[in-house]
Amino acid sequence: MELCIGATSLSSGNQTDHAKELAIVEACRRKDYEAFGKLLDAYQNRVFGFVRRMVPNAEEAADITQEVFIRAFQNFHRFDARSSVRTWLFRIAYNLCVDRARKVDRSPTEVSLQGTVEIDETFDVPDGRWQPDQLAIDAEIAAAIDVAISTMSEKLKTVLLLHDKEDLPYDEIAELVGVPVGTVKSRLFLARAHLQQHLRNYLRAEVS
Amino acid sequence: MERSRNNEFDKLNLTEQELDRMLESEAGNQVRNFVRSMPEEPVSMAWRSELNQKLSAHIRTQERKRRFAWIVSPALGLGLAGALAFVFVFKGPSIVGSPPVTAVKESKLEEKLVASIEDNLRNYDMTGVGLSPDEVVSRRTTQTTYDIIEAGFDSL
Repeated sequence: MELCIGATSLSSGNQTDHAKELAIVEACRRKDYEAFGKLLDAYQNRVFGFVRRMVPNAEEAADITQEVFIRAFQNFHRFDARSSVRTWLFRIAYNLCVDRARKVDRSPTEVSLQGTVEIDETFDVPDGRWQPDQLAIDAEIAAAIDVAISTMSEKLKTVLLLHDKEDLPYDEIAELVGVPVGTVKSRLFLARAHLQQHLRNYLRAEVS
Repeated sequence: MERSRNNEFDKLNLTEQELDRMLESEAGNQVRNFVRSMPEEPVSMAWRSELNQKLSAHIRTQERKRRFAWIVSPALGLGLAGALAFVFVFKGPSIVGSPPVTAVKESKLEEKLVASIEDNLRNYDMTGVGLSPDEVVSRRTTQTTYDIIEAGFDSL
């Protein structure tokens, strides 16, 4: 049976891909190392991207990501397939990040809500996919976004990354984080407002 | 906990419908697109290689544990069964408690034998060799009677 699975096919909602994912999951439950390798290929960058933004230290993020996959491999027999493998992996990653934060005992920077709740303002950022100078600007904006995310509290950061970056639905995020859906939405709103505020300040600084 | 969650939601002074509307607004989607377009940082080959080594080590450990359990568990089972068999077959009666009864019986028999031998010895001491105690008794009785008869009439 051929199982050519990539990151996009695993995460899409296609029925064939779902069947492939189930086949891979079944193989992983039997501790099939090859099948788990395919799962790794599909998700390693995404999980690392999430952990990297949750944990400031790159080396630590790499270690945590390895731990995510080791735990997944060890505990695949416990995966009940109620949620997708992707959600399950992000749940392990989130829990490990939370554990690490508790160990470090570093209180997250809380975001001030004053003056950031207005989210209706849009930015004029043209699509610069084929223009080298615009690509450089995009890279700068991406860096600014990274900085903005790093200054968020873990609660806001988690919801923003899982929803806006990883496309997880509200209910899965709510289950993963252990809060009601309404709280997920309000956190997402605050996170976006914070990001917008940060970008506004960045663009003003650039213009001046 | 629940209270803090509610407070968090209440801070916004928005209904859920308003919140949904704002999250789906153009500005909200623009921020979402910014976040989505952030470049992914790929993991290095060294990272993957290290992870493969760790997973292989884990698989080897699991395999070793499985083999150890496969060997040890039947051995333990056999040992336990052997021990139980030994206890029931060889030591079983002492647990039930029947041996003291036979011991008592044996000791009584011995005592009776000893008593009987002692009686016999005493009788032999009293009566001498060749006569049984009954003979001695009957003879003594007849002798006395005879003596009385013999001596009775003349002496009187």
